[in-house]
Amino acid sequence: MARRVGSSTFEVAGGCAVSEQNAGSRKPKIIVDHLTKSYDGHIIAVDDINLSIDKGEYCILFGPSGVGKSTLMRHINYLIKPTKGDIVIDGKRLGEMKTKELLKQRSRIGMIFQEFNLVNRMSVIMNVMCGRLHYLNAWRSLTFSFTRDDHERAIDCLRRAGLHEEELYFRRADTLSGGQKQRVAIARMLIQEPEIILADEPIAALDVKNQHMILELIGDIARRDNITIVMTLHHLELAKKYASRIIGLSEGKVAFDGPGESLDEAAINRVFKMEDGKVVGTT
Amino acid sequence: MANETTANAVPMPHFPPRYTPFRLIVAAVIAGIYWWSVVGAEFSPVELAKGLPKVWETLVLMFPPSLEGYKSLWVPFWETLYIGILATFFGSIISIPVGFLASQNMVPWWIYHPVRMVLNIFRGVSEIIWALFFVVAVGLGPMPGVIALTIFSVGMLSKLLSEAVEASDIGMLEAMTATGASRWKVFFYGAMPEVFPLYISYTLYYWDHNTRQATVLGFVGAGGLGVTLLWNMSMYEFEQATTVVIIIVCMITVIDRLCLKMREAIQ
Repeated sequence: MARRVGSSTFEVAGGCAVSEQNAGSRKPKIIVDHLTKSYDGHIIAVDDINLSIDKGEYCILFGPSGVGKSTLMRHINYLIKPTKGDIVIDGKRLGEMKTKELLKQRSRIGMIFQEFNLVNRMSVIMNVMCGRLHYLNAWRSLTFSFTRDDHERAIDCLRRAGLHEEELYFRRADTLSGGQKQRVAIARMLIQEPEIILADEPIAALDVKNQHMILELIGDIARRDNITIVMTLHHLELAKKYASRIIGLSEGKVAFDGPGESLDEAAINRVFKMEDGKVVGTT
Repeated sequence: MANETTANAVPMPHFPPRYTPFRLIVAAVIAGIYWWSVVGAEFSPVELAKGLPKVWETLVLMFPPSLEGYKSLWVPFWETLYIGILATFFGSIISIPVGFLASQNMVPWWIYHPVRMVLNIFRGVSEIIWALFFVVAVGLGPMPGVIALTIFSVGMLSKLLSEAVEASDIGMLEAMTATGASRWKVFFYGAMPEVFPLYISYTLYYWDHNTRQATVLGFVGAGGLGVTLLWNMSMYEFEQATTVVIIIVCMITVIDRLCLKMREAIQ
């Protein structure tokens, strides 16, 4: 059941390339290889984590706040650099990439956030086209002039994200509702044509109706294009419903790894460090 | 009833004393610094009172303002405006990339530290000293004035811009970084739109400031109405000098009002 990849499961072969010995011909999309992140040399946020995530998996990182879910996720696109260990995507180590390569890799990893992180003073369509910044040449970037192709892609992505009202496209992003903002953020992620989607508590700022709509939307998109999802979520029921795999973290380590249905009471208690329904250390 | 309220009142916490020995020492040190400055600067209210009749005599000489030779004021008037506009234009454009290089959250320390040091020099040396330097380097006229004010504006605007960028929402910067955009694009698309109203506001303020300074730079030969004012004063043409001062005040007032309106429109 457990899919934790121990140090013996894969070896680094020939620089960047990584082969997984026990997995036969199956090539993992993302390998988290002995990842450790510490701050100031002693506060350990992520503690020697090993994971292997396949293409098309809907993976949810689950656990109490402050346990290192977001930190672990931000390593996958190197928004945070590890203290030790590395991330391997499609057999290539991010730590060994030059800046240019890393930016290219990042451009294929879409990301959405709890607070949407749209640029408030920019129009909806401009926000979406920002997902194409990696490909925009210097002159066009300086003059804020995206190509016609970018405009067409942006409109297509907005429609795929469920925003059909064209009147919205030229409105300032801060005039939209929470659900609409997250759809714009999804469109910005879609325009990147991502192979991996990272989602940091994408529904925490939304109402119940929108929570389901957004999770379904992300799931549909990922299924259609066979995209790998790594999402942090603290809603247990939603995690069980949507994820194909749940990774429970506790104190920077993996405390559970498996499909949602196998996440029983004992496992939850392990993740939340609870005894008899109470968190350990509280009265 | 009243007694009951008093009895049930929330017990008052013990307030710390208002005059602590430390605070008294700080007050004494500050008073000492003031006294030291008054003595050092030979500031004397008695001397000021003695000089008042002389001030009055000079003021009498300055009125009424004379319009004699007013046509010769046109060229320096326009020159002052040009200096203010050009210095602000160059300063505001240059301060964008320099502001990026001075932002701690945008570039590594080995870039922003030296850039900030240079900006400190740009700001630390006053405009009139820069003007003096460039009058020697490129000769008399409005050009050294433009260069001097541009340098000072870059120093100020870049610092203000970089501080605004450092305080901008980390989430937007993170979202832009996550798209695979390079650092300067993250700055341009993640930070600039948010700090733009502030940037325009600062720029307008420095237009006002630069025009005011442009009138002074003439004193060291860097063009504008200052040259005329200095000339009138040194020739004891106090009535003409008054006319120049009135023009300066009117010009600054108009620009000030204009900037205010523009700032209001942007918010």
